[in-house]
Amino acid sequence: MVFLFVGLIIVGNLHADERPIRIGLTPVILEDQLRFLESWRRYLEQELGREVQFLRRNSYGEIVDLALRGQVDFAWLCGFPYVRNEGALDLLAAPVFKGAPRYQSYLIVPASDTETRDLMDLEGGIFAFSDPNSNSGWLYPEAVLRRHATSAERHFERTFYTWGHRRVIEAVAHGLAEGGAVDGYVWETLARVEPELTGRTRIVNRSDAFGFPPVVATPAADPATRQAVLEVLLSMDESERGRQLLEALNLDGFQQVEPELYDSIRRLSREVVQ
Amino acid sequence: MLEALSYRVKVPLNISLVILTTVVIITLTLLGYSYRQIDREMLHSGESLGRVLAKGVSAAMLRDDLWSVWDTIRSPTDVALDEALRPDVVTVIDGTERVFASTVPTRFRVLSRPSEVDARYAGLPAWRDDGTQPETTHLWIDSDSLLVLAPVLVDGSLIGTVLLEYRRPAFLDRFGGALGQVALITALILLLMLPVGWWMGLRVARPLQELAALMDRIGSEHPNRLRESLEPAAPAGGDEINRLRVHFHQMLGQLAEKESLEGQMVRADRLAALGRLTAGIAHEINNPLGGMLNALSNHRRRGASDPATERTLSLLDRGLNQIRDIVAALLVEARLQSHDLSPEDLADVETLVRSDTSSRGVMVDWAVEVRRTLPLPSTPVRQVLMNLALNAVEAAGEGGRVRIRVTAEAGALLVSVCNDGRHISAQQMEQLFEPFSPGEASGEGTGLGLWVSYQIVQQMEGQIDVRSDVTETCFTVRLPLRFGGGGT
Repeated sequence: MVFLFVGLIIVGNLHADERPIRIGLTPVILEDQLRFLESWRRYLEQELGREVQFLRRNSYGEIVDLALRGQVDFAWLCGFPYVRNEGALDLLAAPVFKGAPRYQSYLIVPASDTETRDLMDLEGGIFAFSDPNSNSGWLYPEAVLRRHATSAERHFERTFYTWGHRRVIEAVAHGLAEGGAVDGYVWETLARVEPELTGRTRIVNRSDAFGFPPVVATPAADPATRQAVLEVLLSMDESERGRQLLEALNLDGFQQVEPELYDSIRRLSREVVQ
Repeated sequence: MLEALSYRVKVPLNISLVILTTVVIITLTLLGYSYRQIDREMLHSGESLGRVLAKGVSAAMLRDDLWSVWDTIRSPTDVALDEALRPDVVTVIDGTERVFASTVPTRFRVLSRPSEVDARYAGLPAWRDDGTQPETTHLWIDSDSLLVLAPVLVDGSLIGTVLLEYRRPAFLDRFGGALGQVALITALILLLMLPVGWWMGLRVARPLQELAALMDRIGSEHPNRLRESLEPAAPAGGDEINRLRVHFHQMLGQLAEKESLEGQMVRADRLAALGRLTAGIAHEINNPLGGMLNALSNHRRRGASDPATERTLSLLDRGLNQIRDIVAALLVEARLQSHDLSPEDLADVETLVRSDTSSRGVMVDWAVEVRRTLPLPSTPVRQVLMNLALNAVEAAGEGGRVRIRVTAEAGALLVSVCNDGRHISAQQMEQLFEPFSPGEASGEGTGLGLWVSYQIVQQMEGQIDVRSDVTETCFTVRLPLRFGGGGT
């Protein structure tokens, strides 16, 4: 109550001349659910007392670029680009999925393929990655292949990027790709919305848990705004409307996390990129 | 089976059949026409879509962006196009003629060669890099599948080809709904036309049925009655049924005439036989009768008997004389040897008849147009005229009218006697000229008048006819002027 009151005073003080808060989104969530995003944006505007803009681009890379150049204030992106740009980007919060700020990378194949047991079985196949800047959608499977002394380029006949986890699921479901690497959280969330689509895929492997794609603050975000956004995110599960939005996101809430949560991704990054 | 049906059913049935056949033929023609149009539409739509897709995928192919290419080519299969104009398969092949992406990736796997996957794709025309700009083209890869090929060009050079496979929809898939609709409309038309057909059937069948019913009645009813129940035929020159009607009408008339002639002949035969019989009997009776009367006369001449015997003899005398009179009446012997018929003879008959009628209040219209003596025996003619006239007066009754005409024409004397009294029934007519006939007005006469007249006329080789209806009964006698009297 007191919090809300303070919020309202902030609205009164800041609304007039502050520039909008710009948040860059990547396909770490089902970012094509426009109606949901619009209601979430309004929620944030109401809670922050400031105009909020969501920015989306074709790939992770473009959002990362915008973040590094300070053209967005915050970005929700994968742990992989975060660990590569730790110096410029600050961890703000990570979503809580099934009780923990962690997720997995899924290896999926078409449901008709009942043979494949792991990534190595897909040798000579057509493989779909989601994004070269995605941990679950590229880094992890590439690292697995490296451990087997090969690489995607050599192991598969053809690979391609879909620039989105949802599209990896589509490509595999339609048989365009014979295998794909996808964000487990996206797959699980899509399974609730479009079970007939995920039903045409089969999960072959689930990776170890990684730190969930975090919300990061860019150099453009001043400390007060960071604090305000953090508080709104952390308190989302306290209001009815916030809980509805979290439910739509298939998340439990947000929590502050330590950089160490992403150590496993740092290791993979070092293995593959260097 | 159809032949056994009545025209009342056959005509509407035929009309329905004609409608049905017409509708089916027109429908099939129209549907066939638009079905053939599908090929053109498919080709037209395929070439436009091919060009659009080729342009759409060129940048992505250059970037080697498989996803974007695939996302582009699958859009026509997602968007709700007319089913016939929706490509079945869209495949993009690269410069080495290997699959870049296909909307049916399970069949056309990425990097596979279409000709190896699907034999129908074997004969694709290869674009030649000879400087000429490749054009969008097409070919039928089987009887129902059209393949449209659109070159993917970047800066004038070929980097791939978009292949759109169209499958001609099955006729029923395309027009099943239309056929249903046609069936419904046909049913509605038939529903409207059936009453009309029924009415026309009735119109055609009614005169035929009428004639058929009349024909069935021939034999059981008199042709004249059938003829009356047949409506007067329309003017000649009508249709076949009308002509049939006219001829049937005529035929019934002839039939009636024939029957009447036959009746007359039967009656004449009977009367002739009766005449011979009565003459024979009369002769046989006359011989003993004459003897008996002579014996009686002789006995009387010989002297008186006692009174009782005298009474008996007198009784016998009267009885025998009565027998002689009756036999004489039955045995008509026209006395042909008498003087020729003169107008005065006829005037005498008039006088006698009028004396009888004046007291009865019967109006007699007597018209004799005989101005000269005719070669006919006067006595039998007078007897016949007298008989007929008195019968007519009797039949006319109180206040009745009797019309008598006597005319002479070339070779014959014509006598006609009519009265407006009770008419003679057909049953009475049959036995009219027989002795003691129930038809003869037997109030006063002997009941032999007509019999006698008939016999006389027969002996004079003439004709006697009678015609009776509710208004009038007429006897006509025609006597040929052949029997010259010979006497004075």
